[in-house]
Amino acid sequence: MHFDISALVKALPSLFIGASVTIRITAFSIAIGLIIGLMIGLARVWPNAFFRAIAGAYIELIRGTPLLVQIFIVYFGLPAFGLNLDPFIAGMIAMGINSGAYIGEIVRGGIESIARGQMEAARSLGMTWWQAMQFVVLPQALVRILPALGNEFIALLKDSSLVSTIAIAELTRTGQIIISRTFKSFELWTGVALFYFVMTYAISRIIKYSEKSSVNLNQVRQSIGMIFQSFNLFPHMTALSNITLALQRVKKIPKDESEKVAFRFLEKVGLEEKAQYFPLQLSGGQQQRVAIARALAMNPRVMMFDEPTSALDPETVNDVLDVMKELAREGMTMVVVTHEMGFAREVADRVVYIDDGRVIEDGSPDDVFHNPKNPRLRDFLSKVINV
Amino acid sequence: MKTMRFAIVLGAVLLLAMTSVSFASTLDDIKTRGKIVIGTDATYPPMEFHDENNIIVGFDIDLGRALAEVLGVQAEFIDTAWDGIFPALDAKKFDIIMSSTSITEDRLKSKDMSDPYYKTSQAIAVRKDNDSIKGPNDLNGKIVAVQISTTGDFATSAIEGVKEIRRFDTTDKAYIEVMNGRADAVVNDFSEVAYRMKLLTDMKVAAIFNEGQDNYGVTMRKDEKDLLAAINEALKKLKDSGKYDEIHGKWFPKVEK
Repeated sequence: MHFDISALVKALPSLFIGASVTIRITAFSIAIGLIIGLMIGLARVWPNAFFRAIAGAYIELIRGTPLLVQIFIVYFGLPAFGLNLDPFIAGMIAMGINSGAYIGEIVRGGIESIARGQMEAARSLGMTWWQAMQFVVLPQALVRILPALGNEFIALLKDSSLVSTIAIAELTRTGQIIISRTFKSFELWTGVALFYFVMTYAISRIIKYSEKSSVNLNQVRQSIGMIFQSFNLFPHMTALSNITLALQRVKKIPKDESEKVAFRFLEKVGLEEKAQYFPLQLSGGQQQRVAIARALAMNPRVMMFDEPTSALDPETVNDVLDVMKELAREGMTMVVVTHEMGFAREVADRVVYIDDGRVIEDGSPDDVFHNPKNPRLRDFLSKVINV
Repeated sequence: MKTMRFAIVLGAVLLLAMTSVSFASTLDDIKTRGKIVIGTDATYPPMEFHDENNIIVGFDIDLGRALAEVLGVQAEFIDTAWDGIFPALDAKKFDIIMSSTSITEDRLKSKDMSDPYYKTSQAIAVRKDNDSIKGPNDLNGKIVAVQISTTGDFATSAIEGVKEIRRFDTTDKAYIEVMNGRADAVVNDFSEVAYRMKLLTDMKVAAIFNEGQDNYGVTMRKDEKDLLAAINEALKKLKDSGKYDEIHGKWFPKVEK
């Protein structure tokens, strides 16, 4: 096998020009596709069934026929109706019409991914359906579909090689022309593939980069334990599985080892004998203790508690508070939002009193509970009997 | 939404602007424009191909320019894939085709073609180590590679017993098929095959047949009588003035048969 690199090097200037045509026709097509796709996507969720049907038919028709045939219809077929387009315009329109169907589906998916409550809230303020869509739903949906649009751009860039059949001198056709003179097919097709790859790889890096922030967020969350007011255990899993799930799926710890870890923390919250129980078979206090074990098992650097005892039967509150006190003694950093003043005074190193969204007292438990400067806090403490 | 309404209007205006509906005859159009638009599949050396600087050159190109000069207009060449070149002519993508197009009875049914301006034969090209093919009848039981809808394709189809005809959109793919050993022979116009053999040193011309039966003509849409007459007259002028021989000498220094 002989790879004639000089043949490829000689062809590079022409391939660059071809690649620029490929980029240009793809960019124009995407622009057309976005306009059509936005209209089709909106029509797909429009209250009027007639528009929905038209848009649905458009999508089915375009997705059900090959792009190559669509290009031929626009270029060779339309002149029969007096519409004679030059190759670049014809290719661009055919590709735009084609990607419009796919982008339409992406837009519809984006709109449907926005919580129904958003539309209801906007309508409840007296907005029309269109106003609600325009000002509330669409702005959120469009941000969400950016990665999918990037993928469509990559797909269309590759499919643009089909317009070489109507002799647009884009990248593929340029390769073909040079091979028809030099017969260096292996070298040229490899070079053409490389050009496509560089372009698509660049686009996919840009997409990845725009998604990066959410990936980091997942890593950050691993080191923060979160305890909810309403426990939020997974009801279809046993107490044990609730704990081992993230260990196995996120931390990739093997099954046996993850169960050992889970039992250690169940023991710590005093529930090792309830390992095989489902959440609904447990009391509120027990559920909250499983939730604490679940968070602890991930070995967090800090734990957050959002009113951990507010939803509990008074009798079981102390079981949960005892577990939290023990954690505090062991030196776990905890941020707790609570109405349990006695607990706060006993366990906290620092107490912040918040009223009406503002910090009005911040200090050691002694200062805050025994020597409050703020009259509002003084008034509050006097009403809380158990302090 | 205003922007959307704007987009629709813009789209409609663009479509209209790009539409060119002509009612006058093609010759009138050419004169008014000051330009004749010529379709060619520039993958066919030495008749029409891209040179090293990616510029379209060749015998047909020079002849087309000379024709335009006689008509008193500029020549513009549009590179077009061969397998779409006749539909593109019908779709008025250009005024005429100059692309080594042989005059055939079938083509004359749907197109008008000028008087012949170049005469050639069919050639069979094989690998150098292949001595089993000495003439068209030896293609019996063989796999033949051709460019689709060329006289090479038609001539091969007329030979009895050919095992398979592989039809490609460009001729170079047919040669590569033979060089890779997946087909036994290429059948194509001698004008093109002879030129190719200079580069493809592993191949040779094994036989020539249908000698002098391929006559290239300028192709145009049917019933453009004034255009046909003008082109024929211009061709005659070029032959009389010696310009034709000059162009011929430039592209066929020795190989011409």
